[in-house]
Amino acid sequence: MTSRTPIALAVLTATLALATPLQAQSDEETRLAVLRPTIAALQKVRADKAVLQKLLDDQVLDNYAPLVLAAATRTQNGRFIIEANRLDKQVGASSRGAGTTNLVSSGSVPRLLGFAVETGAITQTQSGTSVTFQTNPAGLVDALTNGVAALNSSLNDTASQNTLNALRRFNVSLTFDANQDSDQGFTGSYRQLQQVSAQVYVYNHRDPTHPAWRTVWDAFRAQAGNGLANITAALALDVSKSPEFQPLRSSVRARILNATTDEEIERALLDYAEGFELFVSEQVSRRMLDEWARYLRTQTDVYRTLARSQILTFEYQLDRPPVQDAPAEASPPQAAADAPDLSAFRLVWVRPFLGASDMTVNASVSLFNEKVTDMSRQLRDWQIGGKLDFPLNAVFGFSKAQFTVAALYMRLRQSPLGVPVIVNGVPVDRTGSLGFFQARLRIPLADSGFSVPFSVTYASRTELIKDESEFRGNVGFTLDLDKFVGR
Amino acid sequence: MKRQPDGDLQIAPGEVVTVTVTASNTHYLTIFSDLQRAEWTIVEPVHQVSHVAVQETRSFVAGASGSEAFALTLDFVRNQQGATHPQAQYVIQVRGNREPFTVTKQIVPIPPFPIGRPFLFEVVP
Repeated sequence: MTSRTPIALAVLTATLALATPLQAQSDEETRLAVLRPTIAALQKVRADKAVLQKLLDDQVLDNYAPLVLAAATRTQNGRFIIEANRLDKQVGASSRGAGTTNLVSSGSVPRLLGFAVETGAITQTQSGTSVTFQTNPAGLVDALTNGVAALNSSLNDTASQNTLNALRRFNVSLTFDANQDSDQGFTGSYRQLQQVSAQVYVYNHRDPTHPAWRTVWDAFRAQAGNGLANITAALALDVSKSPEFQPLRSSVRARILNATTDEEIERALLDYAEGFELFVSEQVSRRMLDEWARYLRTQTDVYRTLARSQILTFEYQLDRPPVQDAPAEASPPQAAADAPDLSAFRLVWVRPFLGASDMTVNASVSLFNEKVTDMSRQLRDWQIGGKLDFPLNAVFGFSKAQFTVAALYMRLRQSPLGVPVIVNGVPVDRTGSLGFFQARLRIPLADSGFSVPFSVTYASRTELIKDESEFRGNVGFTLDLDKFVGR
Repeated sequence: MKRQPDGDLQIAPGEVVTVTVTASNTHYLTIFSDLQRAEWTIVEPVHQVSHVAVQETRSFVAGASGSEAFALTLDFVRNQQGATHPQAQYVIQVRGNREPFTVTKQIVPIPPFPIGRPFLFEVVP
């Protein structure tokens, strides 16, 4: 973390004023946002009339809740229901860890490597001249299941499910440096291979769909109660008593079945929603939204609990120092400063701590893959670290503040050679022991993407200053561009 | 049980109506509303019927006259990426004990969740 001058606060205020209007959406857009998944589903099967008719009759025309919601997107409950259903966001975007320190690896692949989770079996990212390919467990499984579904086959048998469950546990990434082969650009050759990373979830039940959570979801059903189902039945009875409703329903049904363009389907469903408003009293609408929001709040608590269940990960990482071309008379090329490849093995354990806090513990060992001149052993370093993340809601009136305490003990047995040892963003070159402690309070300013971090750091030695203990305090602000990009 | 021209279901007084809900590739998140007049009898509580499917069966006895109604809310558990299983679905079967006619409805994951599915009956002597 770096200090910034108070002038930044003026910039912050001005930028916030510009950022806020990005949230604004028209009534028509929010109404469409509610109905868009349904419209898209109908458009997808438009060519197959039998499937389209079944979807309409079985589900769409008698599912009144979205129609009620479409007319109430500006209410508090309406906004909550839209947000809880992610109707205003693209499904598939990863959640980012906020306010954590880089001192201790959290064991989450997207967080660890900084990738957005995508739905492909392999994701490719490029940063500068580095190109990274990463298998994505969720994407891999989705790609496989989608692929098989497209062939009208099924992955529902036990053996297939076991295979998919096993695949979910693994993650592999390869990073290449396109600069390594002079003018050829990215070739994917071994010489360009910069890093290999493999990760296996030894224990991971964070997926809410995991069979282990069946009893949790059973308990949720009991806790949620049938208030929403009751008002749904009452609404259906009310609507059925109105002689004008059946003509509206029949008309919309016919328009959708006879639609020759996607736009006609969209218009018909929007008209259905608009016409439906006439058959629903404000009282019934409010009661339905109340019950729906209550249901989703209960469900959100379940999702949050499951997302924090413990996870144990084993990681292996191979780092290859850049290869330098030797003088013309020498062949083959030699590694820079005789630096051998480095293998790192790491165990990461994350589990809930007190209240809403999370605890992360990790231990790692790094070994050179071979001994080179003057090297007495292959062990380079070992580390053990821990971190506690405390979410502090509404501190000083700011939401989602987070307090993090992290500690690291490291024993560096050899000079790092080609692959640097980075602690808190600072390379460590000198061998010996190192103790490090950091407490950080991070206060985001609403959902603007700005945050103000305060930190206190202790290090048993500071490589860049002098060989003594030091306390340091910092205050600054950071800007998360994803908050803007992701809107 | 039979279907009326307006789409409502017609049942006879005292007819036993059985509702079976089968969830595939999702945790079972079906909630039954109360009935307007009758009471539910749980024929089979939620139980596993295959590696990926779970089922529940309830029934009620139609009253002497008037209307009857119930609704189901059906939800789909989403994974860490917010996606449902591509083959997740519910199948609802409603049948009476007087006629061979069975109503079958298939519910697939289309947000917003949960999805509501009402069933209306007219009791006709």
